[in-house]
Amino acid sequence: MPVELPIYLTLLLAALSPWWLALGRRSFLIVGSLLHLGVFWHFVTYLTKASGGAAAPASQSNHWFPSDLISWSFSGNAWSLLFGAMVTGVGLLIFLYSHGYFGDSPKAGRFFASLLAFEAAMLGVVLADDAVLLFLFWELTSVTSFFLIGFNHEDAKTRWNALQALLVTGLGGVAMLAGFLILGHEWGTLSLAGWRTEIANGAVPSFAPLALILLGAMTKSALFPFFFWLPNAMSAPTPVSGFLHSATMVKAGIYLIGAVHPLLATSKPLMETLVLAGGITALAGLVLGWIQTDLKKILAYTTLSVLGMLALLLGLGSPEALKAAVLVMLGHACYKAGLFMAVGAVDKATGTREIRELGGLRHALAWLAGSCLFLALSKSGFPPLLGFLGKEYVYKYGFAGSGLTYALLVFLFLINVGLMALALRVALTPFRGPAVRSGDSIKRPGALMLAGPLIMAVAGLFLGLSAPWLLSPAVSSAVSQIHGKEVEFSLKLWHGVNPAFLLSLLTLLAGTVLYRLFPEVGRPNFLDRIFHGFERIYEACYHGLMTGSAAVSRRMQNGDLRSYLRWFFASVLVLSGVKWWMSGYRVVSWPPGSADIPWAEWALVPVIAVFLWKTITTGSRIFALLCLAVVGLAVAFVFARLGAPDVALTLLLVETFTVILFIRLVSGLPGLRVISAARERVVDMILAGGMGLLMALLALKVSTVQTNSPISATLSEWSYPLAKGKNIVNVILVDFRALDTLGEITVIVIAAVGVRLLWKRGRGTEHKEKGEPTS
Amino acid sequence: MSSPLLQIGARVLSWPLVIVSLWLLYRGHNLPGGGFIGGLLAASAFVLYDLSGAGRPQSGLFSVSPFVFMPLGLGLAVLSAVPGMLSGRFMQGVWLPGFELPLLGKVHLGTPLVFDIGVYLAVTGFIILLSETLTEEET
Repeated sequence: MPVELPIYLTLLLAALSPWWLALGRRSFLIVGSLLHLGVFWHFVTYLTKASGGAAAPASQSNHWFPSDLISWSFSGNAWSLLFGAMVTGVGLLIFLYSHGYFGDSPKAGRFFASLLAFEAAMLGVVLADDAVLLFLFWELTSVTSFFLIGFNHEDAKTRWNALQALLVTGLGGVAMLAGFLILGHEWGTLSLAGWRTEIANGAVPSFAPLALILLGAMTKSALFPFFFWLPNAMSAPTPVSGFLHSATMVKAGIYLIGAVHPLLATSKPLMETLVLAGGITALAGLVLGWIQTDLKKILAYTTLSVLGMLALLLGLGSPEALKAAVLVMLGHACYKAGLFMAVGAVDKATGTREIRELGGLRHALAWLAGSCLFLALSKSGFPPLLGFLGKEYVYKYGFAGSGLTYALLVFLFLINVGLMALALRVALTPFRGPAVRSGDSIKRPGALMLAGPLIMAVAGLFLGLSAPWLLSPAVSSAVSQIHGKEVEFSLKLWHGVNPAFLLSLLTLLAGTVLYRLFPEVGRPNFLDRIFHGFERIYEACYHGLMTGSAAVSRRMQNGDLRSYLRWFFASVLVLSGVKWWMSGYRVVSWPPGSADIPWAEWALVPVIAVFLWKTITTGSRIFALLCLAVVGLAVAFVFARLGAPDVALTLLLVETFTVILFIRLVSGLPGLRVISAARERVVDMILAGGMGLLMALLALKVSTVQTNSPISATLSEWSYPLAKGKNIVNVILVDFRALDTLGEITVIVIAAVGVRLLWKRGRGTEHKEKGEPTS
Repeated sequence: MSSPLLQIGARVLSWPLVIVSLWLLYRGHNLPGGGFIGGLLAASAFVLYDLSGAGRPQSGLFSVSPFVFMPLGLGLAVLSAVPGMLSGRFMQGVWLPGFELPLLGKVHLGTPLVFDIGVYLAVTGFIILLSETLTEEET
């Protein structure tokens, strides 16, 4: 079975979901769950194969794009398969949970279409081997998450938040694409596997593309300074938040960093940037999360913190740090998705997510309370849960180093303590203490909504206990994949009483104490304002762009025909001037054979000059038109004399019609008046003169530059034998280049209809304004 | 604007103009002329009527609407592409064997001539429509 099949199947289900849901919810639920289960199993089997040393699933490659570089290819290495399993595993629970969350609301169809499309895109991101393909799916996740975050689109703030997420991650994606393309150009391949081979062979990528790729990953994973979009994205329905911020959207950046890790590792400054940005993000998440009252917001900020920690560990880049990163990531996916779903269930049951209004729910929602306790313990790193493993390996890494890593260890310890206190706040506060509301007012959430948190809690326990056997091979091959070199190790749950274990115990103790000391919401402080400042910068940029572009449009497209011409001429002149300057002011030479031009043509020059002068100086519109017609006739005469009778004939007729039709137009208008100021007229004169000069120079240039053998020789040779015509101009028009002519006559027909409609409409409104009947 | 001189002129000149334009259309393949030029000239007969102020005749050729000419022209042009497409390439010229005719000499008939007639009709319609639109006020 091809490794990318789940993408197509999920997309198909997404496309069908609105109709399917309308026909029957139950069958949709069953088929969707089975699909998720099957896909999850698909990834797990491939993952065991890949980590068992068997050859990775073959990636397909067929050319879908007219380029030798870009291919439609997917690959399943341990890192991407681990993600695939994580996405679909969490996806299954979110899918079930969403059914409970939306019930039979009419919005469900729209929701499931977006959710499943997003999931398919996410699978595309992690499975794509071609960088451009990865970018396509990457942007597809941005677009679909825009619909998911902005799902409650009646609210203006929600729309603004969705747009913010789209802009930040979308623009980051564009930077990433630029990086991909530069790198692809440098190395002649866009395959991620190909890049890793290059690195293994000792090639060194240049700095710029790597920096751009890292920028894309940082925006997607909401790393400092782009972290502000993630908490704002909480205006999404809870299932979306649970999915986007545990296993998918924000983890896409982490995936990308892992996928190109051997490349990034060649640049020390970038790795240090990653460590620094990760550290600041971890701190910012904690500081901002401390003052939140909304349960979901608290979770969002702790997600930020964990993302920062992951980035930091990936930035450190040693196999031990990577090991810790993979474990933290898996643990986070489990407990964060579970907690989000639990918070959603609390919200559904009580109608609020405000931590101050919740309490004493342990009796009414006993199952949920139990699940939450387990999830919070996993998050805190309580042995033998999955979260414990992650924390243990983080500390193990810290103790293995020296000097600066000890400082890092202290930092990570503090972050962990803070995160634990916040986790307990989310998971315990709503259930502890005296009941705030009576049991009757609480709506018990259905089994579908309770299953998610419960299964996640069990999964945390199960994966933690079975880690040495189940997770070990997968994690070790994923770490090898990230690192680019084979890393052999097996996970152990119990390492004996060592410094890392003691520090874990100390974290648990300190976290509990911190929670007991501050069970309620913290007060805002100066750090919050600093971190919030970055969102202000985004807002300033956004509004600056909007007002700026509005101002430019107002100036350049003000509805005044002369100003359009001015801008157009000025741009053409400036651009040609730059080109001329770049060519080193190359001189235009007089074309050969110009001395042979007979006297009659020269005699026309003063005639043309005089009539042109009259055209611009006269006060009568009709006289100006006639003068212009004389100029046209003179030019037609030149054409006729120099051997282009067809052109001359056409020009003569066109000139005639122009005069006749224009006279009809202007006959009712008043005479020409001077309406612009002297300064404006000088500017116009310079622009018009410059433009005229430019066209004259171009005409000269065209006749002197000859890069290829002229096409006219071949065409006139073919003309009679192939097209049975002796007039080569006409043969070109109706035979050799007939398609062009067809396009042209289509255009003139459309133009005529357009003129007709505009004229009628203009007349019509005029009549209406005057209150006269339209005729 | 109504001018008896133009009215007479239009009546006298319209048919000769159309005939000359057809002649230009036909000779275009070997000599200066062709569908574009012919179309412009044919349209001038219509424009003369418009200019004279009396308007175009109620029946006959000169009463035909531009909305007949333009689709007809475009249709012929597209249609002329079909035989070429059947024989291989889109818009390739397909010719009948040449034959001799009195007055005209050696005659070649083929899809490019049909295409040129299409151009002729489209251009005629284009100018007529413009002229009609711009002179509408008086009529």
